[in-house]
Parts: sequence; C-alpha cells; structure tokens
Amino acid sequence: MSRVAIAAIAVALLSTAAVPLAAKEKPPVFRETAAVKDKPGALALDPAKAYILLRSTDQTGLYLFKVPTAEDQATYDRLRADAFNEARQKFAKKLAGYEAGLKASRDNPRLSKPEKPVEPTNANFAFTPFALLTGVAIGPTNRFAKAGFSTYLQEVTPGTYRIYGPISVLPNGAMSGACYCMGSVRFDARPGEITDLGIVPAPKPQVRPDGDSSWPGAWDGQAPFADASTAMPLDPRLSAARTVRAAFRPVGKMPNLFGLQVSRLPEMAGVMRYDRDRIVDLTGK
Amino acid sequence: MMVARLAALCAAVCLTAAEAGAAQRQAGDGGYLPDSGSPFGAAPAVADPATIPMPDLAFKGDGTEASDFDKYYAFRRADTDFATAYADIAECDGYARGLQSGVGYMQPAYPYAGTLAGAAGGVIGNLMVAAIFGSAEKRRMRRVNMRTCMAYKGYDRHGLPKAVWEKFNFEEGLSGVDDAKRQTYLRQQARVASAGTLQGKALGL
Repeated sequence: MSRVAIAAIAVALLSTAAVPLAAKEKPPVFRETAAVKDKPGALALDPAKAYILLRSTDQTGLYLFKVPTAEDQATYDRLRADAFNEARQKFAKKLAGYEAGLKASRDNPRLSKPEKPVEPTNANFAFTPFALLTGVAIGPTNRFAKAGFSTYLQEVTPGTYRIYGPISVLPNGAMSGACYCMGSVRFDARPGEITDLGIVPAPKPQVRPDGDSSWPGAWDGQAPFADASTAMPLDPRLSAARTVRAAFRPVGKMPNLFGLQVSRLPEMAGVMRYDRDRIVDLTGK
Repeated sequence: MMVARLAALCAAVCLTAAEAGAAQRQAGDGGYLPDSGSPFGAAPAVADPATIPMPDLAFKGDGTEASDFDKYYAFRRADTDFATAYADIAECDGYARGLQSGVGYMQPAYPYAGTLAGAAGGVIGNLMVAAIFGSAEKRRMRRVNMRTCMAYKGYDRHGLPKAVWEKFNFEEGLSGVDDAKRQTYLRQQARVASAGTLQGKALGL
C-alpha cells in the first residue's frame, strides 16, 4: 500500500474517529478513565474503580496502558479475527472486480489496467494494537491539587497498567514526550483503593550541545517514583481513603506507537536494571 | 569541549560498555525478561554475511567534516558478530521509522483494520502534523532515536564525511524507504558495526 494511501487512511481516521470502521457491533470498552477533579471536601471513592496517584514538583504528564487480562485478550483476538474475515470477504469482491476490469482492459485497449488489490494475510493485516485502545493519559492539566506541588489522581478500570512514558497529551490531542519503549515497569491498580506511584520527576531542562542537531537529550537518569510521603504529603482530602504504594514489576520492550522519542525508565533498585539493553528482573518473583 | 560535554551527559543516560560487560547477577536477580528482545521480531536471515559488501570507510579529512558528525556517523562495537549487529540495528530502525515528528497523534476510538504491508514498527496517524513540522524534523528524530537505541546497546558512534556516509545510509523524512532498499543499507551498517575499521575517536551517545 502506498504512503499516499496510508495517509488517506490516517486522515480518514482522524476525521471519523467516532465511527467504527470494522466492527459492526458496539466496540468493547477495555478501560474507562477520568481525572479526579479538584473539589473541596473528602473524596468518596467508587469501590468498583481503581485510583492512581502521582505527585510532581511541576505539572507533568504520564502515559499508561492497561495490560490485557486473559478476558481482554480473548475479546481482542475475536475482534481481530472478525475484522480479518471481513477484510478477506471484501478482498474476494475486490479481486472479482479486478479480474473483470482486467478482462475488460484486454478486450478494450483504451481502458486502463486496474490495480490488483492486496490480499489480506495474517502477516500483513494491521489491526489497532491493544495498547492503543487502553491508553490512560495523566496530566499535565487537570491536577487534583496544586498547592506547593502537583498532585494527580486518576480514576481507572481496575487492572494492571504499564507505564509507557513521560508523555503529555494536550486537550487538542497533540502529544509530546518520550516513550519508555526500551524498558519500563507495570503495577496493579486494585478496586476501591488508591495506588500511589510516588514522585514523577519533572523533566530536566534540555541543553543541546552546540552543533549537535540530533542530541538525544537526557530523558532518563533521574530516580523514578520515589516515595512522596515526606517531601510531598498526601492531600488531606485523601486521608480517609486506602492508599497503597505501587508494587512495580519490570516489563519488556514495546514499539514506538506514537512515533515519539525513544527512551527507557531509569533503573529502579530492587525492581529492574539493564544489561546493555536487556532488562533484568530484580524483584525475585 | 563538546566531546567532554557529550561524555558527561552520556554518563547520565546510557550504560557504558564497561558497565554492561561487568554486569553481574545480583540478589533477587531473576534474569532477563523474556520480552527484553526486539518487539519487531527477528531481522531477516542472512545466509552468508561475507557476501554483504563492506563500504569503503577511509577518508582524508580537511578538518571541517566534524561539524556534521551529528548527522553523519556509523556505529561500531567490539566483539560483536554480524548477526548480532544486524539484529540490533534492525531493532533500532524499528523504533526510528515511521516517526511522527514527536508531536501530535490522535488515538482512534475504535479498532481499525486494514492491510499495511511494511508498516511494522510505525504508526498511522499524525501525518497532518508531519506535514506541518516537515521532513527535516522527521529526519532529525530518526537520528535521535537511532543514537539513543544504539547507545543503550553499547555501540560507539564514529563521525563520517557525508560522502562516505551516503554509501550505506539513508535518511527518512516524509517519504519512506522501501523495505528492500532499507534492508540492504541496514545489512551494510551491520557489517560496519561488527567489523568496520572506522577512523577517528568514538563520539559517545
């Protein structure tokens, strides 16, 4: 498929994102999420929802993906299989049209030869990755509290979440930041409780060396997710809620789904380290 | 001066070969994660790496070429065979291809299906933003990601004059590079990364 065709599809996606392109049934919801707003008074948690808490000296953004459960994966696989079958059926029709057009062009040299359709196969069939259906963008706006430091509280569907990177999604959908494509961590967010990620380090100012137009910068190198209890005390509105420190586990590599700068989470003592680019599990589990 | 700053900054963000070589199992060390490898699958097989031509890397500098070493360079790592270097470069290429200028993407609300031959590792969407930011920014972002990824893997970077670099490299802006041509270049880069003789000092990240 040509780049022009891909561009056309992308533009179509951007303009018709509210319309299912493949599934005829109502699409499944793998996760729901919303920022908890900054309102006075104690917070009443929904016992069916999980809450993710993070704190930072500055406004910051953090992007997560929900890790599929076995049920999620089965649903996703079925969706893909249905879409693949539909694509095969469409291909059969297109192929018939192509063959008819080809015969017509042979019979009448003034007719142009049609372009042969691409046959969908399991190898070339592209389906939206599961991760792109389960993103959770926290910050940089919609802070739960902003006195002295920034507190973010995000309501999510309970489950396991992977930290994809310090990525900010602006209200217009624009994204900036870097993906932790080459190493990161996951954690569980359980219903009825707040999972505290700790402190998300604010990005350091980037000083590009003179003459180096493609300096990668220093996206990592700062200790991630340090305990926030002393430096950035819990907001009093959350004091009655059950808050637990996130238990991090390492996760492997992922594609650069948003086409951003590539990076990785800095090493975390007792959780993970790197041997060159290979990720070593230090949790002992 | 610049090299010193590069080295200092690199120390903060990338593992050095010595660190990697000295990696020892620690208490609680559960070994490598199974998905520590490339998320793009194995690089295409090469039956006989010796058939991949080694580019002519020799040059006589006039002192000005170093100003372009941020753009034109080759990677090299000692004690690395061709297959390893090819796998590493192909993985880094996966992170660095199909870039979207670093800004702007709208997530489709529903699953999308289609046939996107050769689109592995990239994404669809954000092309309007790419048109705004232009080809130069996409080319720059490719260099950024290749340098980051290869530094994580412990490769050094050596500057080259543009005329030498062009023999076995490509830039990728708004228009892509077809896969056959891409793999030809990547294999040559892997030849250099595993066995090339590169003059000049390592530049670090």
